[in-house]
Amino acid sequence: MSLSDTFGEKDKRMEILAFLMSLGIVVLTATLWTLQVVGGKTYSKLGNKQGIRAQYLASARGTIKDRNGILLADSRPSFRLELYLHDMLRGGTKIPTKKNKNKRDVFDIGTVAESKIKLLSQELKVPLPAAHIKKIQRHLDLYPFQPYTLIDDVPPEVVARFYEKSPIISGADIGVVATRSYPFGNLAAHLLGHIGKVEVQKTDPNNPYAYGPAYLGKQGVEKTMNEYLLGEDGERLVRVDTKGMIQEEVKSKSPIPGDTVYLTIDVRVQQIVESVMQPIKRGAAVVVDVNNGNILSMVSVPSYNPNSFVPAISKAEFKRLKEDTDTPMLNRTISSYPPGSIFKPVIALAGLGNGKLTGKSTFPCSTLTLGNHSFNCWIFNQSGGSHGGAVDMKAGIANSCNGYFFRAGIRTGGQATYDMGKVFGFGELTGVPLTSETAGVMPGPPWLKANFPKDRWTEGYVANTSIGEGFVMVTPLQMAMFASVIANGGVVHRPRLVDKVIDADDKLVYEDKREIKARLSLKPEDVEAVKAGMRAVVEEGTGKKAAHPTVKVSGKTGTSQSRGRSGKKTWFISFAPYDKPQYALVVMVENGDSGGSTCAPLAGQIWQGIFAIPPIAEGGQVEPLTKEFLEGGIGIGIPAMVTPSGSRPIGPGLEDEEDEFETEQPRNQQDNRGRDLNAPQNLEQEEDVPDFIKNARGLRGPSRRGNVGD
Amino acid sequence: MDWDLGKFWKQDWMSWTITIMMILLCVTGVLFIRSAQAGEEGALSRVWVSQAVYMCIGLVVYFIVMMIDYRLYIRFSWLIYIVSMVLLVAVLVVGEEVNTTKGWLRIAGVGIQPAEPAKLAMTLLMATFLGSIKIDPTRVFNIIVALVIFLIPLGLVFLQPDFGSAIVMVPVAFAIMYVAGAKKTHLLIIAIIGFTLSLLLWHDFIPGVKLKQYQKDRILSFTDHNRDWQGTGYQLRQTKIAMGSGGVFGKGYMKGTQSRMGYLPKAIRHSDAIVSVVGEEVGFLGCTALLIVYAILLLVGINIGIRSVEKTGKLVCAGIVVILFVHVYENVGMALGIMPITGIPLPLISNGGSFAIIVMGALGIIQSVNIHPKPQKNFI
Repeated sequence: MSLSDTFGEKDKRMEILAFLMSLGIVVLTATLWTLQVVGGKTYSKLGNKQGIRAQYLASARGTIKDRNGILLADSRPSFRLELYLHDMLRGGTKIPTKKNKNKRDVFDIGTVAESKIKLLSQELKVPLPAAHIKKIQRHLDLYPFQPYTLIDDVPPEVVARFYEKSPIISGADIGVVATRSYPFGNLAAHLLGHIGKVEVQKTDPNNPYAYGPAYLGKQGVEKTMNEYLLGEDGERLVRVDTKGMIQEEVKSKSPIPGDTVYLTIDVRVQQIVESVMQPIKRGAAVVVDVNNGNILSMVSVPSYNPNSFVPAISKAEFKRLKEDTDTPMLNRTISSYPPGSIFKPVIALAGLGNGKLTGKSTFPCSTLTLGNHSFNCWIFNQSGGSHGGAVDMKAGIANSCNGYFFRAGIRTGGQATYDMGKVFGFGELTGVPLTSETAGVMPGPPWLKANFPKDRWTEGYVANTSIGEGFVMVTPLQMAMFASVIANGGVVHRPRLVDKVIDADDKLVYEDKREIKARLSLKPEDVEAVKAGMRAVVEEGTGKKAAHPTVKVSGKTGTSQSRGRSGKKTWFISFAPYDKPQYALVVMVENGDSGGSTCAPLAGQIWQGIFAIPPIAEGGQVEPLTKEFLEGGIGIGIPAMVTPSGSRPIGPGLEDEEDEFETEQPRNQQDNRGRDLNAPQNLEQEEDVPDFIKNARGLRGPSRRGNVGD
Repeated sequence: MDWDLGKFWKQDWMSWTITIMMILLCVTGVLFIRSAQAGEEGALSRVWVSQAVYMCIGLVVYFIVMMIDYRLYIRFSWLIYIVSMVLLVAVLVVGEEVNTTKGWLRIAGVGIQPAEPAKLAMTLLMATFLGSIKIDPTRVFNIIVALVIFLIPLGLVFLQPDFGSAIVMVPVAFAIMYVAGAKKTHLLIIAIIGFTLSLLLWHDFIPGVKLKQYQKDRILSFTDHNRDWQGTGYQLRQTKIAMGSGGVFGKGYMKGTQSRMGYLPKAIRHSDAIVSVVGEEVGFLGCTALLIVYAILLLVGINIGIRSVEKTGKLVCAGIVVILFVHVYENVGMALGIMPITGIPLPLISNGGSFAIIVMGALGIIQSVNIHPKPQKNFI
């Protein structure tokens, strides 16, 4: 090589220098080889990863509509102020502090966020919650690229101000999210339920991009239909530069909005029932379609506003709801209560079913003595009189004669009554898609054997059950279904609340098929006999106040003895029109006077409203009832349409998340089998409340306290 | 390389290889400065234009410098040295502080870093001294004198403190002394003393001079790459990702995502970190090509030195070549994570007008050694 020739002997040191430098270049090339050729893929991945940011695209929660497509739960757009912590951190902030005299960049998220929030507050002229540094730090650790929501539901004027000032507020942005809103406010709150924010830890901690649904249904249909309502969240992978500016879209998956849930509820009926029930302190009402089991209305009072859970319920409000002794969160339509006399038609049907009774069978209305216990009729206790020497079924039901039903029940027998009760589904969950449904209790020999094996189903038990006392527990929904069986001549439907679920492409994804659970094996005239009795209740008996001027209404009153703190339960079950029944209605009021005086008038008002609903013209759109209609038509103020809460006040309270709220069980029925229901009684003389109950205390704890004959 | 280099060099006129390689580097530099800041708005995006202008000025300087017999520079090397030292002192007094280093002088609106000409001045004076026929480089006294010539600018640069320039001066001085024929034992003793002093300096045992923490951090971060990734280590991590992700062929000119998206810090990606942009956009092949160009430049410079009839010319060539080499090695090495991070530019590629002109002037001196083998008769 000529190159080495030119170096020559005397320049050996120059040669060595040249060699060393060449070696240096070779070392650099070798290092380049390992970095670029060997490590090329690894570094490519690293590079790609740090430029990629996953944007979580929340799907809009599906809506809930009534049978006519009127929105009960909507998704409205809501603005929120978001902090991009990662961006804020990268730039750091030049804050001169004591330690930081030369104004070098500070990379502590707490300091950065604090100064940023202060600046935002000044620029937007809005009081902002102080930086919750622990929360911010945790958010940054878990989801470095997800924006941290500083406040939800920013008022539009603040949004406008933000966009004016945005150039100077880096690291913050306004995000738009779909937020739940319940346009009718309190209306149907219990059946719709509410949603709740999900704790962020619940999502996958191994995947920094994972970000689960922010809201899940916590109660009611929101919870049971959650999987349909949720939709599928989307994700957008974008490559961003260090300023957070999006350079390109790498991958994009659009969010799929949640499905629309159609309920069987008719918002107009719901409005009427809500209006009528509003003045009641504690109670429930259910309207069902007798021909198919569709639930048209379910009302539980007191109610609450599910909007207050969006975006997050304030601590004070949550405390108020939880501590209110009227338990506004409790859905009374599916909670169990002692039925009292509304249970009597079950005995009548049982007797007719096994042939022990006919419509013509008569019993005297006189004191029944079993052992040393006297079972009296309520009329005896009230006035010392009686319903006569030969009370037939129609009169027995019409006057709610205990004397008749003690004897009819004993003649029918405990087992037959139990079997008939089971046909109607007493003591079993109806399976309605709601949370915290209770089964109630259908007592009878098998039930006693299962729960009190040493005891024997005596006539005393039979007598108690026959008038809906003792162990019997029913829910208003079960009673509504029962009333509809009588009304439709013996077909037991399964109650339907959710009609169908339609996805975003208008495809049917779920349908709750109509289901006939059973048919009464009774002769039509036998069912007619009971129906006639119930018609007589309204015509001439205990339920006259439920009467409608034009429509023939049938019903049955009930007043159960008071138990515990919640007091007496007064009932009215009803169906109408009598000749061609369409609706069954149950009204239950806690602590009322009596079924006839408290509930029957409410039922009357509801019937009045339902039958006054203006017919919809051919091809016309069903509209919610107007305030004028409700006030003018049935004379009671209604829960006014709640406008979506577009501008909620901003306060620190709103950022607090609450855990799942467990609905409190009604105090008086924590034990479905009735063993704990022996609280001291404070009986008043009322229709339907038999005096014997006082004497029959022992029945409540049979094995321990002995029998009726004590 | 089968052409007869010996014959090629024997021509009297300039070495075209140096000129071509130099212009090649200049063009590459301007192109990548443009690419590095293309995503920016305002002055930064047009910085390549001013660099191109400086390159043109540098080219003129190169030709002028090479036309003049290098013996003129040798004769006035003491003057150049004194002026440089005055500038180094001046910068300590009235210099501008950039990134906590007082290294910039602003003269008539043009910013210069006196440390850059100081390296060259030191090289010239050391070459003049040790290249003189009267000086015996094996004598301890002469070595001490050469050391003093080296230590004055080193100390002044250290006071700024400009760690990068200081680190360049050490191998340059050693190379000149070595090539001049100093005893290896002397060089070894100097190395040991120097090493001990640096250790003492590191541990703050030398009164009056203290390393700043950020300087220590920079050195430390190269031993532990994941240390403090938001700060010093972050920069290294990003340059490595940039180079590594370039792979064999690179992402294409102007298509480097690391630089375009700002992961390579905006302030340095067109200057000290420009090799990362090159590595990302033209990959291993491009980088290797660049290194080969440098290697050719260095070897040609060495060759000219060897062929120089005077010892002084040889030492000047050796010194300048080593200056270039150390810049290349340190700059590329820090992007690769094998050298500590210091603010050292890549010659003729990194943005920086005054440094480019000085480098081209230095190459002009090598060229001058090449085309002036004998003293001219009418030499001043």
